[in-house]
Amino acid sequence: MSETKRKKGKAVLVVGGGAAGIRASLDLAEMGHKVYLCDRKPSLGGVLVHTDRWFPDNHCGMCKMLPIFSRDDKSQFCLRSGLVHPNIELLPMTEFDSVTGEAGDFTVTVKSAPAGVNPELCVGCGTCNSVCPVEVPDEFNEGLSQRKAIYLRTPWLPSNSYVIDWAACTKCGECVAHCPTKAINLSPQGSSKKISVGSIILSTGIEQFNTEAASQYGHGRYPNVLTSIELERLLSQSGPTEGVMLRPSDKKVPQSVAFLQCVGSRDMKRNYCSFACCMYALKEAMLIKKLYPQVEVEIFYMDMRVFGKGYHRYYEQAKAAGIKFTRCRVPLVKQDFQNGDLIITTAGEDNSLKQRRFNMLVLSVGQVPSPLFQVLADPGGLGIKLNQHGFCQTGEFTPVETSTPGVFVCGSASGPKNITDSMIGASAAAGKASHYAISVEWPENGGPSNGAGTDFEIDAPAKTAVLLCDCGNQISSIIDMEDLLDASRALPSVVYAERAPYLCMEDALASIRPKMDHHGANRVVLASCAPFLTRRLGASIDLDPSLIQVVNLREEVAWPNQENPVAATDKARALISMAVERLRLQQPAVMLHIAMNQSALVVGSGLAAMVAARTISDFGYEVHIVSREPELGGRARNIRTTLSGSDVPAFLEDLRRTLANNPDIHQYKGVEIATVEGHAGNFHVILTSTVADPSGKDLATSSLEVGSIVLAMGADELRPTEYLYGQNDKVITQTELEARLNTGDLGDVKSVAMVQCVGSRDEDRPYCGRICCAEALLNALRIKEANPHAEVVIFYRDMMSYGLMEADYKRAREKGVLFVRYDPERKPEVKAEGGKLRVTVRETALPRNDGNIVMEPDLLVLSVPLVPRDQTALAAILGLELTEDGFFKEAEVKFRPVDCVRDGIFICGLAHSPRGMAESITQAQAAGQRAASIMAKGRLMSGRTVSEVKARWCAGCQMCVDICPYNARVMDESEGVVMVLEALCQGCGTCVVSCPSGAAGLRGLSDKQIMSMVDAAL
Amino acid sequence: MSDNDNKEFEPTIIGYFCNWCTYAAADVAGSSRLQYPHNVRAIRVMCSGSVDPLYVLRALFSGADGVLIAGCRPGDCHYISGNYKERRRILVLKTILETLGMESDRVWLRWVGASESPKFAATMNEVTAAIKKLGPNPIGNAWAI
Repeated sequence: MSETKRKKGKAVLVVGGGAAGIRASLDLAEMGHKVYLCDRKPSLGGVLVHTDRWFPDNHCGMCKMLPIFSRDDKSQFCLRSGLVHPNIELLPMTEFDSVTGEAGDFTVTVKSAPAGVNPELCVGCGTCNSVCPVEVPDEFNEGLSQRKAIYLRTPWLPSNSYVIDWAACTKCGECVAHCPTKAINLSPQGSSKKISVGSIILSTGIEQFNTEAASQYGHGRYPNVLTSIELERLLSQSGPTEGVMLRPSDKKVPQSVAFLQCVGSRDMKRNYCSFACCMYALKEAMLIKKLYPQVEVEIFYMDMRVFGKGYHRYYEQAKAAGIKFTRCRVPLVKQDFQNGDLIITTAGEDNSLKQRRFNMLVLSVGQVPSPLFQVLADPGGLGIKLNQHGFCQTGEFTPVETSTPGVFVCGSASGPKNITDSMIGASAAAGKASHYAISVEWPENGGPSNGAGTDFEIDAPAKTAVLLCDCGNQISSIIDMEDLLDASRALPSVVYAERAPYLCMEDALASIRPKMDHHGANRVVLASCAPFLTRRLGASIDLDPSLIQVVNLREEVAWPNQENPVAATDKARALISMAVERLRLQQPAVMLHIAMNQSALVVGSGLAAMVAARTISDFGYEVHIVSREPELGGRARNIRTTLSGSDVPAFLEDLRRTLANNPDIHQYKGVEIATVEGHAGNFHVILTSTVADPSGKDLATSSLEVGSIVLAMGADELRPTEYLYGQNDKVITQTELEARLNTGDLGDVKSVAMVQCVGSRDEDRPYCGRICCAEALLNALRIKEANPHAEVVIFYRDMMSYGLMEADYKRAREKGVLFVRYDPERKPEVKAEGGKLRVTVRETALPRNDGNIVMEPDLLVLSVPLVPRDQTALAAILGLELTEDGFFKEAEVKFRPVDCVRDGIFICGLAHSPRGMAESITQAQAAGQRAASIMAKGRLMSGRTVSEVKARWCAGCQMCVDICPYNARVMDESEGVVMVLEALCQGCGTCVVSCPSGAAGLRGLSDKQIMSMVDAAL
Repeated sequence: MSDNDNKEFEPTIIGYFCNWCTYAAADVAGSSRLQYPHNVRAIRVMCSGSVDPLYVLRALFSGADGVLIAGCRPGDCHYISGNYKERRRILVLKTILETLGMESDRVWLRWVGASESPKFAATMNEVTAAIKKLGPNPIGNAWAI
């Protein structure tokens, strides 16, 4: 549909504030759209806030989701403490109710739960919590600890005010009587609100499987049987045991822990795999081993699904760490009532039965569709179609689109996912949803609510106001406020100091700026609390945020020193004096920007490259597609159909035509990239022809100016060297089999053997091919379809039929495809004897034939992985790193999966890692969206705290250039000094430390400011 | 600080806390009402990797009894690797201090993640107790202006 005809609404609604919802909202907001982000819980973050570390690197990195450019308007703190973005309106405790209208013009009614505590009035003092007589299990800790009926949803106070659990509340009124700000109302009305949006993104996530439906595991009856999320809480410092793994029954550290996989998934009722459980079990097992090396950890699994980027290596690390793996689905758990140990019966692969005893059991519980989907599927409402499992139905080529136009889906709402894939889907969905909403204008100063500009003269002497907040009596009952007032008034540069009972109340905030003007003050210290920083209350003061300093008197001084008022007052005095000093030397911020070239370069010729190019051009930007190959299409040209029966050639042809007919898309075939100079917004790219000029002259070159780059190069199928490949014409690869199936010249084949993991998951290539199991299933089913009597046997290590593909695995078994597991230590033996192939595989469960299966197939099909082309040269040209396996490295494996560390460059498809078709399309849409997003404003804005160069002192040694993680420092060859690209600088300050001559500085937190703060502290 | 000989020695410690992890932990420690010593005066920096060893020296020469730098756990740095850089710098700094015959154990480097408020409080206890044991910073008196 053309851009002009499409109806556009004023905003986008994102339903569900987990990882995917946050990502989608941020992406939309960065493109300039107004976003409503609703979640039925009182705080954002979904399952993320319950976990501390994520696979496959055991790191935390939520904050890395935050935007890189114009960052000062947004949260600049841990995302657990909340999300602030001028374009995002948060609607906590709010559910989707009903909808009317159509794409581009939806009217959505959202219902907010009765808010017993008014968030505008709640100061988070916690008095209500201390007087509340009701105790109930705390869901933040999965019921492993108790909380009150009026409580904080997460310990990160600034993110939210107190809320009331109506189910537990007895309405005794104690909290109302004690609330110092009269914020509590025990009989509030729920409210509903109509919002007008152009599109809707469903990022509702999933529910955790309810273990009551699997009572054989004893969860809920046996105290030492935990779910994986419960274990996360036990391992978390913010959990009930402060990170000490104590088993619930006797509060002792268990000496043996077993994980049971596939609880609530891959069973008769739930014919899908929950995607993430194998990996999170590995992670939890590794965390236990790291904390308690002596503890025995064993994982009981069906298939270890380690299909993602870096996952197989992680699995190998887990084995090396001493974690044991046993392939067995445990049927039943019993408890030893003497000591709370758990007893399970396991069947070995040699059919032997064993009784095993463990101190603690962890159930890797699956994901189930949210009941909300039934509401969303209501034909009177959104009417979205659900698939057989109850998740949102999406198409192979439209992986983030629901059946209702203008309604998009991401995260686990369309089937179980992990964080990485949720992030990718979220960016893709944001890109699609963006077309149905207008974007707000970007004013000259860079953002819709950039705070006040520089209304004070630079170099005007500092005149500081110090405002002290009593916080009722939370601060003033500990700290001697009058003493503090006197001390503040005596500080140099302070023109006035005042106390307020509550600085955060609307009238108090509103009076700050007029009073400052009255006293001639141009800087202000707010001595108050942490929420002042994280809720950006200072933003309402109408003052350049650089000229505001918040001193956290409450959380940092008063609350931790309740028994020591004298020391607390001393500390408060020092902190205020430090803040005043910092401001005294602070200059109003100057925001700088880089002008942008609003066109993109896409490298590659395959499906991902084509989809990425189309995604970017849908935003109206010029796209240059550069590839070595003479034509577009890549590996997809050889694919006829997929497991879901999609018509790939038709899709590809449509895509090819769209690209060819678009005058803003330019294709350069048979060329490669010679050099890339510049930075996000302004890349200067030189291309060289890969075909030598017949006249013998130099290779033809041309150059391009682009704002962003998408890498979407393909990968090639491995040419195997095992199993007689190349020596016997009965041995072929899956791709070759597919080609024969497509042309119908398979011949009279009665028996086919397939071997998985040929050349992958081994020492040479320690990664999973991810798509080979799907390919094998597809081809096996196609053979069975053509000839139901043909015998098809798949020899595998772990069937990677992750997510909804599990249903295809089951379908193949139902159609009679046989699956036989082989041990990588004893690979199948293949011999050619008298024109026949003979395959021998050890199958320990079989008593006959010495445990060997012998087969004489007409065809032996090898499932080989895709191997990345050698990208070393290109990586060097782009200044990027490759992974150990030769794929491009992303900026952050979980939260920035399509971004590169060098800003302005994005990756998708096989350049990133092997991925299935729908996954590659999603990722290409995500990369396209991200590439277009940075161009949306027409310029890149800097933050307020950025590094600078004192050119006079710069010797041009470039140590800072090397150390900068963002390529924000470049050598100005003509001047012989380093210069800063302010828009790229993230203000981390590491360059300042590296500079041997003191030429590097951080504007906003200079050496001088730090030194004078140190002096003030002493 | 008013010096009173009758009282137990109360050190003054300068803290350089990373904005992303340690400061978040400090907030949670406070709102969870964890009680910990008052001796650390925190300066919020964007990244532990921005703490110049000179800032540490300056604090010691100006009379601080100890310096604590705290940032994200290894691998968690918001700026990718600032904490690793800081670890190397502080290691070198401590070696230099020892070479000069100064007390390197007045300088502390700790990783405290955003969800590790108990560790934050424990670190404050640990550092304060250790510096108390060391006694007042002798440089502080010698260099006092």
